[in-house]
Amino acid sequence: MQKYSIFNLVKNAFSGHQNWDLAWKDPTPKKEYDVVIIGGGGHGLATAYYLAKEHNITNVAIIEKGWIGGGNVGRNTTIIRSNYMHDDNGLFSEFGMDLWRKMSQDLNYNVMFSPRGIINLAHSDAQMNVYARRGNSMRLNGIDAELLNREQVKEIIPMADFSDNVRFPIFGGLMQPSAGTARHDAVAWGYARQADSMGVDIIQNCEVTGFDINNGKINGVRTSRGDIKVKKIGLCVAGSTNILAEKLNMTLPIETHLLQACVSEPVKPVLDRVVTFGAGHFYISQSDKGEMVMGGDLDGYNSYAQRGNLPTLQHVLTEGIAMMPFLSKLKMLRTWGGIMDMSMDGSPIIDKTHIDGLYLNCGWCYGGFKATPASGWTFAHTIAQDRVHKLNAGYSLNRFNTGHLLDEKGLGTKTWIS
Amino acid sequence: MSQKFRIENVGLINRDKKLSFKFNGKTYYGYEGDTLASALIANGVHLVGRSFKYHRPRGFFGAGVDEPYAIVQLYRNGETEPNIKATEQELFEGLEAKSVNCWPSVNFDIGAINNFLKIFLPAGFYYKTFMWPKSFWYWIYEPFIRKAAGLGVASIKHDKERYEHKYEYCDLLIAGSGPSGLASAYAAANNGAKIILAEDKPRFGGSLLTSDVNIGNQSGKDWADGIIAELKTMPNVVVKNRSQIFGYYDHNMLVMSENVSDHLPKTKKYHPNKRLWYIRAKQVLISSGSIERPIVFGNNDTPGVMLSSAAKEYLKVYGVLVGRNPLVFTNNDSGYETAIEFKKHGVDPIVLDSRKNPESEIISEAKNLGISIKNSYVVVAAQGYKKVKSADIASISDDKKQLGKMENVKCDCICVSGFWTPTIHLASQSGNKTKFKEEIDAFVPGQSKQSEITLGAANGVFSLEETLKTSFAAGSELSKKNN
Amino acid sequence: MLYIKCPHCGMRPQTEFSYGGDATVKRPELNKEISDHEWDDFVYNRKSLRGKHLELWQHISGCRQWIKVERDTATHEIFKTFKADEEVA
Repeated sequence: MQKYSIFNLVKNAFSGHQNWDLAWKDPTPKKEYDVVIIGGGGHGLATAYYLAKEHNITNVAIIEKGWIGGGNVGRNTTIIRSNYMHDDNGLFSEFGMDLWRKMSQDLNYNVMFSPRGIINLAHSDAQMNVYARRGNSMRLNGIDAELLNREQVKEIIPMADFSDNVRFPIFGGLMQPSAGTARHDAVAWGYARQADSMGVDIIQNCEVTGFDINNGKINGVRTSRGDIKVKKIGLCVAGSTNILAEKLNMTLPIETHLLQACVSEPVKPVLDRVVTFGAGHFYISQSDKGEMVMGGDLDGYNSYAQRGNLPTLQHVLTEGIAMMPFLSKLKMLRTWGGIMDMSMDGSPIIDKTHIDGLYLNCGWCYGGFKATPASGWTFAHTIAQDRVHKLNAGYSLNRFNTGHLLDEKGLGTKTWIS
Repeated sequence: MSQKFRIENVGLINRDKKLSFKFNGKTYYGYEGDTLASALIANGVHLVGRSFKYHRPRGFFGAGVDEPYAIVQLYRNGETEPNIKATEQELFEGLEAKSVNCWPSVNFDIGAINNFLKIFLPAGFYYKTFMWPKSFWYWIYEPFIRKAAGLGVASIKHDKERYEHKYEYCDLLIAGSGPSGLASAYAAANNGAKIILAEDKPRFGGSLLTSDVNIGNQSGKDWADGIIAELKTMPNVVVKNRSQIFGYYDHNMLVMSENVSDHLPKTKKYHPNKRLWYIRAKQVLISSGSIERPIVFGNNDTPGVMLSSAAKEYLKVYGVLVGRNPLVFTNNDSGYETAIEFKKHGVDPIVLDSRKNPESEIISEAKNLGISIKNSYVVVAAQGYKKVKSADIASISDDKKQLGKMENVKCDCICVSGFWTPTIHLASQSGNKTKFKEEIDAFVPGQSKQSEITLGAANGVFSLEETLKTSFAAGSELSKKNN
Repeated sequence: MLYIKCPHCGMRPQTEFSYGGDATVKRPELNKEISDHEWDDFVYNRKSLRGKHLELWQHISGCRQWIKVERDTATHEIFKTFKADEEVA
C-alpha cells in the first residue's frame, strides 16, 4: 500500500495527483467468507480492521447497503471523551481514548484527533457535588478529570453567560482535558483503506435480504448481490438494528429514534473546547474549519425518517443561547437528522446472541462515534474468540433480563424514558 | 460624484436619498434602495474578499441569495456580524463593512501564497500528511490550520437584540412573488382564501423587475405593483417582503424568517431583529423561480465574472453598470437580454454564443441594434487577477470537442449565462423526489408528497404566458378546494 | 412539525403532546406467575417497526388525555388517532 506522507504528497503533486492508488477497491462478493460484517459505518469498518490486524482473520467482507461512512460516522458531532462514572463505561471508553491517540499513525491517515478538552457545566451546588463524585470515579479508573470552579470556567470560556441574574448561573464544571474531537469521515476512510489493504472486501450497494440459519447456527447471509456462505456474522447497523432484528425474529431493548445536529457558518476561532450545558441537553464545539458544531435532544418519537422537525432544533439552540448568548448572531449553515439505536438504559450492546455465530453491536444512543475504535476492537475480539472481552462484558444483551443495567444519566446517553 | 458606474434615470432606487457607508475603512456613497453590492459596484469596487482555502480574489457573482463570493463582515449599531452576503444586505446610512479572510488587506493578502502552492494542496491533502512527527500535530499543524479556518469574526458580546417567533395558519402559502406567485395569489385571494405571500427580497415582482415584458397594457413591474397594492388591501391576505421560507417540515409546516430590522441602521424600539414564523398551510404553492447557471472556463472565479442575470439586475434595479466593456458569454437566449440592456444604455457588449446558428426574436433584435455577436465561440479563460482584464476566446467545433485558434479580447467583465436551474429545494424538503427534465437539463419536482405544488420557472416553465395562465388557474383551483 | 388530531380537541401541533411509546405492549396480567423473560419483554424489548406504528401520546398541553396514534415511522404520516380506551382494528 502507498504510504501517505508529505514526501508522497509532493511527489504526486508533480504528476498532477493522477497516480494515487485507490484508497479501497470495489470487489464483487465471493461465495464464502470466514466473517461477514453487516454495516460499513465506523464500527463495521473498525471491526474488520481489528479482525485482520489483531486476529489475523482477513477473509472478511463488509456488506453495506449504501456507501461506507454514509450513516452516523458521516454526520455526528465528532466528540470523543471518556468522562463516565461507571467502571464498565469508563474503562471501555478510556481504552478507546488510547486507540484514538494512536490512530493517525496506526492507520497512516490523519484523523485529526484534537484533544482540546471537554467541559460539562454545572448550574447548581448539587450538580457540582455530582460532578465531584463523577470526577473522583474517573480518576480512580485512570481517566483525567478536573473540577473547575466558576472563575476557572470563566477563564477558559469567557463567552459563556456569567452575568448576574441569569436563569442558569454557572457554578463550575467538570473538565476532561484529554477529551476532544476528530475528523469523522477520515475515521471511516482510514479504517476502510487499511482493512482493504489487509484483504478485507468492502462491498457497497449490497443490501441484506435475509439470513440462512440452521439448527440455531448461522450458515449464511442472503444479499441483493447473491447469497454468501459464512459461519460468523457481526451486526454493526446502529439505526437499522431493529429492521435486521425483525428478519432474525429477535426483539431487542432498542427503539430507533431521530436525532438532529447542526453547524453554523465558519467563523474565526472563538471556542477552543467542547462544552456541554448542564441544565438541559446541548453540546458545542468549533471545528477546524471554523464551524460551530452543535447538537442536543432527540426529536422524541420512534422514527426512521431521517428528517427532523424544527421545534426540537429550536429548543436545543435556545439552550445554547442561554449558555452562550453570542450564538444568537450566528447563522445555521446546515441542519440534518439521522436515525439511531436508543437502548433502554442508554448504554450499548456488544455481545453474542442466542444464535450461534451471530454477534451483535448496537444500541449506541448518542455516543457511537467516540466508541468507534474501542467498539471495533472489542467486537473483533468477541467475534474472533467467540467470547466477550472483559472490556465489553458489561455491554451484555441479557443485562436487561438480569437487572444489571448500565444507567449513566446526564452524560449524553439517555433514553426518551427519562 | 464618485459613483462613476451609476447611470442616470434608471432603476428603482431612491435618488433623493443619498447614503454614506464605509467599506474597508473608505467612505463611499450610495442611494436608498441599494444593496451593499450594488453600491460598491456603482463605485467601481469589485474586489471584496478572498476565497476560503487558496485566498483567490473574490468579487460579485450574483445579485441576491445565490451569491457565493461576496461575503463581508458587517458593523451595525455597535455590533458586528460575520459572513453577510453583500448582495442581500440593504444599504443604510452609516453602514460599515470589511472584507473577510484576508491579511493584512484584501488587496495584499499574505494567504494568497496558498494559490501558488495549490498543486501541493489538493482536496483532502490534510488526511495524507501532518502525521509526522506525532506531537507536531498537536502543537504546530493543527493550531496553524485552525487559525487559517473560518471566514468572518463572530462577536462574543451578549446579543442585545430581541427575536420572536409566531404561529400562523393559512389556506395557501405562496413562496415567491414573481409572476407565478402574484398570479396565483391574486386568483386565490379573490376566492376569499386566507393567503400568505412571502418574498425574500425587499421588492416584490421577482423576474418582472428585470424583464422587458408587458402584461396586458402594463409593464411587468407596474402590473406587479398593482397586484401587490390590491393584495395589501385585502383582509384575507398577508403580504411579506424580506421574508424567506427556509424550511419545509412535516405535515405542511413551513418556517419563514422575516428580517424586521437588519436593513435599518438601528432596530426600532420594541421591534425584534428577526421574526420566525411557523406556518401551517393547507396548501403550499412554490413559485421560487430559477437561478441562472454559470459556465465552466478557466479562472471563472475572477472578480468581474458574473451571471448575466445579475448584471441585468444591477442595471435595471439599481442603475449600475457592472462594466463598460462587457463580454456576454451565453449558450441560450437569456444572455441577449443582458446585452440589449447594455446597448440601450450606451455600452457596447460583445456576445459569444456557443451555439452555431441560433435564431429567435431576441437575437434578431440584438442584431438590429448592432450588437456584435460571435456564434460558435466560447470563453476559454478569463485573464486578470483582481479584476477581469481580458478573455481568451476561441471558436468551438459543432461537436463541442475542438477549439479553434485562441484570441484575446479586452473586456472588464464577463457575463455568463448557462441557462436556468429551477429553485426546487422547498419541494425536495417536502419529500418530493425530483425528476430530471431533459429539455432544460435540470431537475424539477416530481410527484407531490405533501400538499404542495410547484409552478412557473421553479417547475421548469420559462414562458411568461404559460406561467401566468397555469398559476392563475392553480390559485383559483386550490382556493376553491379549501372553501 | 407533526400535526396530530386529538380525538378530544381536534388538530393540534406536536409541541402540545408528549410521546409515550409503543401502544401495543401489554402489561403481564396480575395474579399470574411471570417469568423474568416476560417482564423483560414488557419493560424493555420493543419491535420499533419501520412503517405503521401504533403509539401512545399524551395531550399534555391540552386536555391531558392519553391517546393512541397510528403513524408511519418512515414518513411520519399519521393515518388515524384513537381515544386511549378505543379498540384499534
